[in-house]
Amino acid sequence: MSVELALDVAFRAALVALTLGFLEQLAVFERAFGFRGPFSPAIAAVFGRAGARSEGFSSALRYVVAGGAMAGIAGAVAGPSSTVGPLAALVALCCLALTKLRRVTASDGAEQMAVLTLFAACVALVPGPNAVTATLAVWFIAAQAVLSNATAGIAKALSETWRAGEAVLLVMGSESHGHPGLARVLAANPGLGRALTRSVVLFECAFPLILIAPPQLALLLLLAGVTFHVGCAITMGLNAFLFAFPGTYLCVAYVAQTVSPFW
Amino acid sequence: MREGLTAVILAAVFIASVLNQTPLQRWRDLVARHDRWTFLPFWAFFAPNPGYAGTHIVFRDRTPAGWTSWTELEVPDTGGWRWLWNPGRFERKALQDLFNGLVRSAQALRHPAALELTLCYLGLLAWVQAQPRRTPESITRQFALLQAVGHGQERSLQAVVVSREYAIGEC
Repeated sequence: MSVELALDVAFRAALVALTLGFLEQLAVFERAFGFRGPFSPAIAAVFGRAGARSEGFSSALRYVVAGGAMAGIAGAVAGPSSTVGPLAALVALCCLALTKLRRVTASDGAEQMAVLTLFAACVALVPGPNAVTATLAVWFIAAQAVLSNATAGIAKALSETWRAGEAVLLVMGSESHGHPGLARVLAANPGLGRALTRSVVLFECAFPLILIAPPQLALLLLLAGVTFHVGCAITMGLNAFLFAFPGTYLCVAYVAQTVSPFW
Repeated sequence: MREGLTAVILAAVFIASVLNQTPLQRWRDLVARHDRWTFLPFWAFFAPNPGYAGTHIVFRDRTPAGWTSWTELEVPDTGGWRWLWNPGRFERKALQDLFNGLVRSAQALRHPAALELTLCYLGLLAWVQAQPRRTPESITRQFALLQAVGHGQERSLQAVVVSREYAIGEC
């Protein structure tokens, strides 16, 4: 596992996650960013983003979102080792920052992980490639991936609902992130719901062990992570997570290879 | 020089990210004041309480003849391709974020009436007030936030917030 490969995959996956978001926002732009939508100038002004209320900003915003999508595609195709890639990522990050002047709410974990990944890549690769800074970026991305899983795992382990094994059934029964078919199956098989809930807690809590585990166990945990995110995308509609989080896994594997006594 | 600077920047962001996972109130206040772009992550996905209820906004207008029926403010539903293409997620998340913020404010406030002055309430109000009049004679508008639990016939609805009346155009 090389630094270049780990950073390449994380960089492209983060840009795919961001680009997907830009394209989805473009698809609902009229409704969501118009004056009747949740990202209207009036709502931005409530949250103190008065500048985002100006007419000039409103008319430019669609092009900003489109520009973010185009920069994301260009960066994902070019990759981090090219001259274009990191600059395109910078443009995509700037477009996202401008978009968020109006979209005060509706940020999610996938967007945050993609931003952190691209931030690290840009800090490391602009103005030009550097082996030491690239390695630092890979360590940073891996650390965020481990932190995210550890935090989520500990928070769930401290929650009575998660410990009781009820959480997956509750989430699947919800309108926002649920899946009626799976909710019915889980309601009919409470043992399956409990097993799924506890396996999520166990997986997230065990994730940091990748750093000191033998390669086979580390690989198993990373595969479990990919399966988990595929499952979340299919059942919960968390589509951007599918790219933003598994995209960091080679960085985690690189760090594990460096620090684990078993590799 | 470049290597040192990169190390300092990335280490600082990582330490700030770790602090952001803790319940330190002073840190949270600092972040809320300065991190307008939510750059620093908070990673406790669906914990401690997994979101199991769907949120809906309904509103009705008062006319000289009385109230109209309640109408739901349309927030797009998820589609079959949501595992790959899910454009409605931003609007649904916006509603969820505003609702969650409102609930957090309600828990923190000493005077329930002050809820009307919170940013999330004003954001929801601005959203509702921007919807077209139900009738040309509409004078005032009232909205309610509902929570839905379950699917299909087993779905249950509960009103969580019912607003006072607002003159249409007032925000």
